Order: sequence, then C-alpha cells, then structure tokens
Amino acid sequence: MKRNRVRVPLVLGSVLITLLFCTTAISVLYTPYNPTVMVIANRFSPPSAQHLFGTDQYGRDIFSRVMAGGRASLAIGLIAVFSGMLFGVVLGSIAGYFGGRWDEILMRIADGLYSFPAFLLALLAVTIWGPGQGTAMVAIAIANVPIFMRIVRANFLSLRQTTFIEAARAMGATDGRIIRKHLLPNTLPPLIVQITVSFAAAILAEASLSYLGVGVQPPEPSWGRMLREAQSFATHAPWTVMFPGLAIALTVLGFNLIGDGLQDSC
Amino acid sequence: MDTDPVLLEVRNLVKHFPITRGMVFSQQIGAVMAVDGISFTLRAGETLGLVGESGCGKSTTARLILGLIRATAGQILFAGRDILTLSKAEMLKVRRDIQIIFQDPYASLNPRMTVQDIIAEPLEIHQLAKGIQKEQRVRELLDVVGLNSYHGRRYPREFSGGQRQRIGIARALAVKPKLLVCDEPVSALDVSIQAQVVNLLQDLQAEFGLAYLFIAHDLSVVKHIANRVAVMYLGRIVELSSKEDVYQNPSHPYTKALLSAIPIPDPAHKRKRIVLKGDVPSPIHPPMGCRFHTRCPQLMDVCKTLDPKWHPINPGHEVACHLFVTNG
Repeated sequence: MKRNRVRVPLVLGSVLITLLFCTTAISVLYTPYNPTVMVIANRFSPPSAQHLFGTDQYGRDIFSRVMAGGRASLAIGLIAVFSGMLFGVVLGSIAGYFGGRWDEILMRIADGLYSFPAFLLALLAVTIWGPGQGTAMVAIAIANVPIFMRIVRANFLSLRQTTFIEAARAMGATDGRIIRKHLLPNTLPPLIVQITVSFAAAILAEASLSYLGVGVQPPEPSWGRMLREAQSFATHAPWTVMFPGLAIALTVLGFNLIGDGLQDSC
Repeated sequence: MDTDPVLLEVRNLVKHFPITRGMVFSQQIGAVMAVDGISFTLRAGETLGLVGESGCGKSTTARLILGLIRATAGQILFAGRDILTLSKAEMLKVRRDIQIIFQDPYASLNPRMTVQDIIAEPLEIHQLAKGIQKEQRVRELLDVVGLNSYHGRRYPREFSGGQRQRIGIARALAVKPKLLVCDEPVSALDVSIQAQVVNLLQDLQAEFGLAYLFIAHDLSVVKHIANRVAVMYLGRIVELSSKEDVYQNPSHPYTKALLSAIPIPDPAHKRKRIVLKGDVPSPIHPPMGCRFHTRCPQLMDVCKTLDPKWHPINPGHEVACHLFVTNG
C-alpha cells in the first residue's frame, strides 16, 4: 500500500512532463497556426473548434503560441539548470573532498550568492548584458550554482568518513577516481531530486523575467511574455491569460510531483 | 616459520592525533596518544594476532600500515623499505602488496557498485587486467572465496554479512598481496559465520602464502588462526609471544585478565575469573609509569613511576612488566 502512495505523484508528474516534452517537440515541426502571424480581423475570438484556446489581441492562435512557448521555457530551464549543476557539482566536489582552505573560500562565495536575492541577480545581469533569452539563462544558472554546491559538499563530507572510501584509498585509488566512482554515484539521489525542483523554479523564473520584459523578446512566444502582453485584457478575454498561466502551473506542478515522488522513494 | 624472511617490521611506531582549539588561530591543546611506540615483526606466511580492547590503538595501527593516516614517528619497514618515506608512485606499488579486510562488511562495500565492479576495482587501479581477462579474474576470485560467478552482477545489499565479508576478501586478494591486514574481520558476524570466514582465511593463507596481521578484541578467535600474539593496552604492546606460550603461560597481568574472560564451554570447569577494576584511562592523559598500573591486580610501587622494559620469558616470548625484572 505504501508503495502505491509513493508512485502516484511520480506517475502523475511524469505524465505531465512527458506531455509537455511531446507537444514542445511537435511544435518545432507543426503547430495548427503560425504562432507569430497576426490576423487582426480575428482578434479576441474565444476558444472554439478553430482556435482551441482562442486568439489574442493580434488574432494569433493561443494554442499554437502555448505549444511554441514551451520551447523557450524548456530550453532555458534545461540549459540553465544543467550548466548551474555542472559548476555546482565541480565546485562542491572540490570544497567537500579537499576541504580546508578551498572549502572555506568556495563556500563563503556560495553563501554570498545564496544570500543575494536571485531576482536582483537577474536584473543585475540584464543591466550588464541587456534583456534577452541568454541573459535569463545565465542568471538562472548562476542562481543554481550555490544550491548544487551545498548538496554535493554536504554529501561528500558525510561520505568521506565511510569505510568504502577508506577501502578505495587503501587500494590506491586516485582522488579523481574516488570522486567519480564512489562519491558522486552516492550523491546522485539528492541531486536528481534537486534537478526537478530547480527545473520548476527555473521555469517560474523564466516566466517572471519574460513577464517583466527582460526575458524572451517578441515576437518569439513564451509563457511569461504571453501573460505580460495579455494582462490588460484579462477581464474581457480571460482565455488570453488563462492558458499560458495554466501551462506554467502544470509544468511546475509536474516537476515538483516528480521531485516529491523521487524523494520518497530514494 | 622462523626461517621465513621478515616481511613487515614496525619500529617505535607513534601516532598522536592532535586536539586543537579555535578555528582561525587554532592551537594544539593536547593529543590523543592512540599508538605510542610499538614494535613488532611479521614474517612471510605468518599470522600475528594483535589483541586488545576497544580504543587501545589496534585499528590505528592497521591504518598506519596501510598508509591511510600519517605516522607521527617511527618506521614501518615492508620488505626492508621504510614505507613512510616513499613517494606517491612508489607507495602505489607497495599498496599492491598490502591489502586490508575491514570489520564492518556493510560499510566497506560501495552500495552503488555491483560485486564484480567492486572486485575489479583494484585490478583497474593497478592496471592488472582489462576486458575479458578482467572478467575472468573476477570469476576466479569469486570462486576462490566460495561465491558463484552469477553473484557478480548483484549489489552488496543482496548479500548477508558473511557473504559480504567474502566479497571484501575477494577484493583484497585481487592484486595478489603478500600481507593482509585483517581489522577485526569476524567480530561483526554471527558466531556460526565467524568460523566459516576464519577457515576461509586459513585456506587462503595456505594456498597463497599470505601473511596476516589479524586484529581482534578477544583472544579466542586469535587462538584459531595466529602463530604469534601481541597484546596491546592503551597504545602500547605489553606482551609478545608465540600462541602456545600466551595461552599456557600468560605473563602480563593484563593478558591473564583477557584470557580469563574467554568462556569455556564446560559447566564443571571452575576457574578464577580476573575482573579488572575501573575503566581504561583516557589516551589523552595516559598514566605515568606502567600504563596498566591503575587497574593492575599486582600493583607495586615501582609501576607508578617507571615505564617497564621488555623482559624475556622464553625464546620468542617477551613481556613489558616490572614483575619479571628478576628473570632478566
């Protein structure tokens, strides 16, 4: 019985995220309408058989735009989280394995980054590099580095005391081998959970940044961008904000469900 | 056995773990004298039992010999060379000859590796075998320790304690070592399994001519496997003798107390159990004079001030105790 309870969120989350990945992949080849072509005569048409999610203020098909908008969210999420993780894992490994002075220096920098609000960091990045998809990616990646550093370091510190690490040393294993073959594989479960959590956060962050107008730039569709453009019409054409909002909510929910499910079963 | 070449010679080995206070301007305020000047030799193919209670420095001695921690002072001569002065590359070569079996068979195997990867790891590190050759050797090793080759694809969690200890032994044997340090290899196992593992170790010794440094906290296990026995107390060796002598003619009061603690499976047999009073003193502040004097039933005045020297009892049997001054 316990097993079933653990599986439900995991399955539900996986279904949501698989669906998202599929529609996004399809959007590259096919969308019902061109997501950037405006048909002014057809503005604000409510959801119907022709336009499943209705059209926006320029007469663009919202269903096609939601499909295509997933591309920006996923691309930013994937690249930002994985590059943040890469740096975080490398730096966290150094701090956790070698300890001493390196640990002190690296973790103080991580603490500094961590205590600095991620959103301010992103806005700072915008003032330096200008608004755009790349800037959002870099900012989200940087915000993720200290999170992964802490996880890796904490796990290494406790694993370092174990007998099987001592056994590897007694065999003559090099530091690199001990980190790759023994420490990192045993740190994988918490890392995977953090990836899902970070992914959810990255998609929210992308949406927020695009909403503020410093993320994805028009005419490229993005969920956050769509919310921003539609906010003044939310009362008389609610479908313009409802569907991109729903897309964000379901994606974040999906990743969080996977994270929760994995955490319970790891 | 006495004619076999000396494989390992430990001379005045010392390990003090510093106790520091303060983070930035840390200063040493004391030291845990875990190992405080021990010496012994081990010949090729021989088993030396190292016995003492918890915290007396047995495991520290094992870790020193394996180069897992740095010695404070002293020498460890392996095949005539002091391994404490070797470079990293030279030490790597020596590691092939000295392997270890750990006490806890649950903690000493990486839970994320399959058994065959665990056993193959020393082969990879020392670049001894690759590909099919490596697989072959792993199967051989599994067979040697009494496991099946299909066990190789499983994970450690699927095995019992005794089987895990066999995996640990196979891993240690992979590089064909000359010396195997056994750090209480059976004390975490059920009594019925202990005998199996001890017998396996004895068979392997006969087959491969291994030398064992066999660490244990009681004298009964050592009785089965050791040729000679060293009794350790609070960082020092107090008695060193052949196995026969130590059981028939225990000389140091501490050895006598340890021996009297072995249960005898005979209800008719009456014997005097020597129960030591008090606890083991802290290795941070070991007692002056003889380290055992605070608990010794045969305490003399001289014990409180003077460190006892080694006194021969028989050939190959020595004791560090003031009771035997007249003999020497």
